Amino acid sequence: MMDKNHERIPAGVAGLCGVTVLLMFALAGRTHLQSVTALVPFMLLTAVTALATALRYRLARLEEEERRDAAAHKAQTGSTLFEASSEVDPFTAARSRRMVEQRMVPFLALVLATIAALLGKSVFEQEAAPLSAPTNVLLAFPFLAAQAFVFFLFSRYLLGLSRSEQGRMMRGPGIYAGLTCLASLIAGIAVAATEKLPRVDTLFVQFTDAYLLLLAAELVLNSVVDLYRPRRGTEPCTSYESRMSRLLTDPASWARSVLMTLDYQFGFKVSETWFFRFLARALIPLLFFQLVTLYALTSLVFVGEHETAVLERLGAPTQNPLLESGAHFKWPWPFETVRRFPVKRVLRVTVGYHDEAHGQPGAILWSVPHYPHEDYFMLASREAEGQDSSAVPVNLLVVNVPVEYRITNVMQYGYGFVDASTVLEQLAYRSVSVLAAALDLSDLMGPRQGDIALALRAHIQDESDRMKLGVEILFVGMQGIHPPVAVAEAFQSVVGALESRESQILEARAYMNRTLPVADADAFAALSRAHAYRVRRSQTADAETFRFIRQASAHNESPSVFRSRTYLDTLEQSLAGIRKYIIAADAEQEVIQFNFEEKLRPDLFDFGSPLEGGR
Amino acid sequence: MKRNLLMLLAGAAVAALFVLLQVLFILREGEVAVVTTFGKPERSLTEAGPYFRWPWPVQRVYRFDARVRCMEGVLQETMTRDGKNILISLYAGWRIQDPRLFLERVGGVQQAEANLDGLLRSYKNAVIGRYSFANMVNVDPAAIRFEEIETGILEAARPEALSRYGIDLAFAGIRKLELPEAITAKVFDRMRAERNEIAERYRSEGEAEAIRIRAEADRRRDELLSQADADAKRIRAEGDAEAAAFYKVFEKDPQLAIFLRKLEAMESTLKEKSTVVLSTDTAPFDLLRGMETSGETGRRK
Repeated sequence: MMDKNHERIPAGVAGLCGVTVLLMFALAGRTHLQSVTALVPFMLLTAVTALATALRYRLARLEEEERRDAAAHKAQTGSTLFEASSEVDPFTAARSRRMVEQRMVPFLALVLATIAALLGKSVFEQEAAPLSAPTNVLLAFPFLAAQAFVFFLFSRYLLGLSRSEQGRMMRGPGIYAGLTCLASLIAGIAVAATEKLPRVDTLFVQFTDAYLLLLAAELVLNSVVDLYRPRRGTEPCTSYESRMSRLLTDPASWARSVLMTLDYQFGFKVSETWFFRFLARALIPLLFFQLVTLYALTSLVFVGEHETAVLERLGAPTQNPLLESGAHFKWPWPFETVRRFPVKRVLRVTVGYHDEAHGQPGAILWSVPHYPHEDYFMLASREAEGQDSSAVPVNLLVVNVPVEYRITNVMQYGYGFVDASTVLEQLAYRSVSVLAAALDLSDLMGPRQGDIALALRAHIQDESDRMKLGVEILFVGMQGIHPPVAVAEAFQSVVGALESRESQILEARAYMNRTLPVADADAFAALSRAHAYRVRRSQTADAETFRFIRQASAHNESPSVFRSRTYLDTLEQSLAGIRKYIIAADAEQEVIQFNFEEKLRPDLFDFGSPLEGGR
Repeated sequence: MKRNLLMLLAGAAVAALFVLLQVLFILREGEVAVVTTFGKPERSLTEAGPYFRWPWPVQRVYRFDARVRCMEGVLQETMTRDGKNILISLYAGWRIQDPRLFLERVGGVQQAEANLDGLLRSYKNAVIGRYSFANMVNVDPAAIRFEEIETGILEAARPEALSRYGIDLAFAGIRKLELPEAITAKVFDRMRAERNEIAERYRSEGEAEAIRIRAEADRRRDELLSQADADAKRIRAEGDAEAAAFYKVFEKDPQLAIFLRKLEAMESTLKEKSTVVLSTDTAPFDLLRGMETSGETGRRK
């Protein structure tokens, strides 16, 4: 027999959803949280399902009452109320219920899918263009927690009722109420996290959008599948129930499904064996034991090989607070906690550049930036100082200085500053700025770099000690000092000019090296020739006088014969090989013409006798 | 029954933990807190340890990190006493000194840093205006006044930060000096010109040195050759003198000597490519003259 409570409970859930929707809108107006608005679609789904369920129960109850009245009337009068007009189907509760079950309920899944898709899209559009930043976010947390709790109670109650045959239809609103509870709980956590991580609010909305679209797709699929599903007798249509959501909101149903599958597969009640009974009995104590063990593990601390930890009891460091590498026991959380510091590790801050997500460059050139972002430092300029007083007497230089350090005093480093590495970075920047302001370009780029790096290290160490940073500066590298990229070419041209100067000088030296030995050799040759001349002259004169003496003695013997013979000998030898014209005729009355262009002696191409030329 | 008791105990433990977390809170070392009752600040807590409070919504605890926090200001353009524009960025370390005042006047770290940035920037402009550009960048380290400037800004801003925001400014420093973009471009132009000047100097030095070296080489070569030439002439003259000593012999019969020399000269000049036209007056061709006469007689006959 149908109970009126079956109508009232889903109707009450629908009313609750209406109230909470209004509450959510008010809360969203106060906090500007998108997560709060994103919960509204879940409440509307719950409300629609609950109203439909209430209507179905009401019609079922009316049909039952109608049937009961008809039976009573038949018992009194012997005929039914509508017997007279049995051919006409009167408008009865049974007919109304049939119409609803046939014409409305199968399409409820599609209605819910449309709500999920449209609201999901609307929430997505709101997320894409948020009106203002969230405020008073913590205000929303208790409301969301309370809402989650209330919906949890209703969900469990409805799902509990759904296990009876009469309450089967309660499962739909129970699932959606459970989904609203889960969404509210996650929204509460997201809202709490938004205080620290503002992006979490948006992430939750994106997650909600995705889930609603998935839900819409599932409901459309359910609706299509339901059309072809064979229905047994009076089994109600439940295509609007989301199985995906059921898995999330009623985890016990998983276990039941698994047990039923096991029973079916093995052919006997596996779930009633001693092992399963023992497991069911021991499950909660086991879980409880695990939780206790997990909590007890908070008494154990493992300090890493590069770390030192500071033990805090009720928030304050203990008498001997430092815990070195290894395992240590402590009181469980929240009575004792530890803070860890990478004391043994060499840490690093950088000055003048930012190298996040930047790989090692292929080649380090002045004309190419070494890092995506490099700072210019101002240097004094000796050249510019003596010039026009209105000019700015500075040079600009890119200085990349990594500073490596290690923690020497954990208490100063960890408890004196929120982020001591940032303070060290600022000190290092200041030190480089101060040092560079009193240096010329040639100082910083020249051979004094090593001394300057030592001075910089000492300066940063002094400043760190003065600030009580609790660090030791291990290394200050002057590894990337170069002119700004815009003037790098001019600097490179100076180096080029230096090379050009050297090459010109070397070429001139080569010329000298080439010229002087040759000149030396020429001088030697000239002297040698002179010496040879001298010897030749002297010896020739000697030989000639010797010959003359002999010739003179011959001449004295017979002067005319000697002269004639000597003359004729000489003429004979002299005229032997040359062209000769002997004019034998009386030449006084003749004109003789000579052609001196005629070849004097035959060459290779003259085939005649060599003597012909002389004729 | 026993299981229910266990469950009851577990539930009671969880509930007790929940209640405990609502009424007890632990303040860690380096933290300060303000406890408010229905929004009204009741007490400030600065010592680490456990404290009780009424659960929300009666009391609420606002915790703040009281350690020194470092903030970095933006680069701001300002003018020095001698009218030169310069960009300066500051850094400052601050901590919460009066948590209650901080909660009421500021509320959070982001707002605090925004307020401090404004405060520091206004005093920075005032202090920088008292110093010349040469007090910030100078080849003479004694002329640089970084510390004076920093102390001036800190001393001016510190009391106001404390009284207005409950914040203690622990330190302030100049992080970086830069120049406005337009001036930076001009500085780059000047740096380029300086480099070009140096490059040209190197190039001309090279050229001059090369010319000097070549001239030196030429000079030494000429010296060597002229010295050798002179020596050679002297040696030749000596040779000539030595030869002349022998020529006295020719004085015994000068006519013969000249005759012999003429013959030598004739022989050497007629060696090649000569054409000689001789008449029958020249011996031994005078022999041809008699032949010529006998020929004519024969024809007449």
